[in-house]
Amino acid sequence: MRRLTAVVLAAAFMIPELSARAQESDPGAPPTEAELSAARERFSEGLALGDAGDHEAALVAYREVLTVVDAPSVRYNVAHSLAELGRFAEADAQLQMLLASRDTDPETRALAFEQRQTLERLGGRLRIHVRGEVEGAVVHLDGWEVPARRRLSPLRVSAGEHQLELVIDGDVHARETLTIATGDRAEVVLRPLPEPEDVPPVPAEATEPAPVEETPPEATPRWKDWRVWAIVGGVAAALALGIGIGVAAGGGGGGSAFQGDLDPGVLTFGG
Amino acid sequence: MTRSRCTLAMLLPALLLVAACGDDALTEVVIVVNSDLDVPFEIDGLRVTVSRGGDALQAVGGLGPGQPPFPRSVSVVNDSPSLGPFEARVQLTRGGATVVERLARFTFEAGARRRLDLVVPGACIDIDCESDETCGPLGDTNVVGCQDPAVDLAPFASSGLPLRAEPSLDAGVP
Repeated sequence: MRRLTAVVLAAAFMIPELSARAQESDPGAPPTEAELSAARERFSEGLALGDAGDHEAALVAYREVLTVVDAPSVRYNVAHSLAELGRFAEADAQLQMLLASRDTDPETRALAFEQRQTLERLGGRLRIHVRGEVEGAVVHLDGWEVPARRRLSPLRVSAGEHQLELVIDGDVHARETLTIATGDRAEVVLRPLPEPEDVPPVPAEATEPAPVEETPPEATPRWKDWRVWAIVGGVAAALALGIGIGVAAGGGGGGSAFQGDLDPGVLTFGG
Repeated sequence: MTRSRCTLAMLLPALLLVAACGDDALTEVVIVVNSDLDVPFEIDGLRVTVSRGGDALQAVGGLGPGQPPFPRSVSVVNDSPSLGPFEARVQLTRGGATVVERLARFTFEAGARRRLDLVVPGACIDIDCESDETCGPLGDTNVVGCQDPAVDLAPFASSGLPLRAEPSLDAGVP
């Protein structure tokens, strides 16, 4: 896995637009030259710590820099350290932020993409379900609080043993330990204890307010509506009549729509 | 006289249909959806919603055993006076919930069939773009990022598409 160097960071520091201050007293204020200088120094320390194999300390250093300069190069190195520590899901979250940001330069973007592919190649995927979704319930993966929306899709995880916890109001309600091998596609269901008997087993994904059914269950299906069939029948009869006359008259030409393999295969506006 | 009018009234719709059949080609865009996501582990369905203003039409399909593989397609025919812009939103789903989506904004070309290829990369999962942007491959690379959803349509080619039937008016005539 590649890491960006201080040269790249220095370039980022020199471009004011790429710098965003994360400061409690005055969040909008740009960092002072003294703060930038200290951040550069801290970043160099992070590089040295990473080179020495102390990725935990390097991560701390990079995160400190990130509070001064939220530059793509810094975030990339945060992701790099997390990946080296086997915290793939957290690393992946950082990489996704990089890919989503319009401030990410092409070089860092390409590296982030490459890093994600490396995570994919070295690790596995884990889909987490929470049975009987409880308000305020959060999932911890190896101590990292997994954002609820990230549970919608399988997380990238490193090969090896992982700890999962279901935490509700600060209390651990379920705990699972599982081992992931490279290339695994694993699913785990966390059940709050005691398991509520009256709550149907709904996977976490189903709680999203987006339409769950492709056809609303309450609505009468269109194909059951006799008026639709009356119209369809009328149109079909008229079409057949027209086609018949057209063919008999030696006419024809024109075209019909391409038939897709979704349902329906053709969508018509203004028809 | 009355008989002639009656005959004319009966034939008029048919004649109009014949005239329509002999008219210019359809104004059409064939949307072709592809993805590198794992079926059915990551996704088990897709939804394509095409809209303009308040009008929206939707096509759906399942993914997995017994279902056609990618690429999947739907044709959009525009019989309205306006050529656009239209929006196509492709949502890849699992259990009905959207896993990842991609947006494209396009304009029809009058009397022409065009093709709109929409690749929805797995790398776009969880990438939040601004409301006026969408996640997709950047240029010809496999690197993804947020970008303007406006797209240019390509000339239609059926290559790579599992054709259910060759486009032919006579295909349905007994």
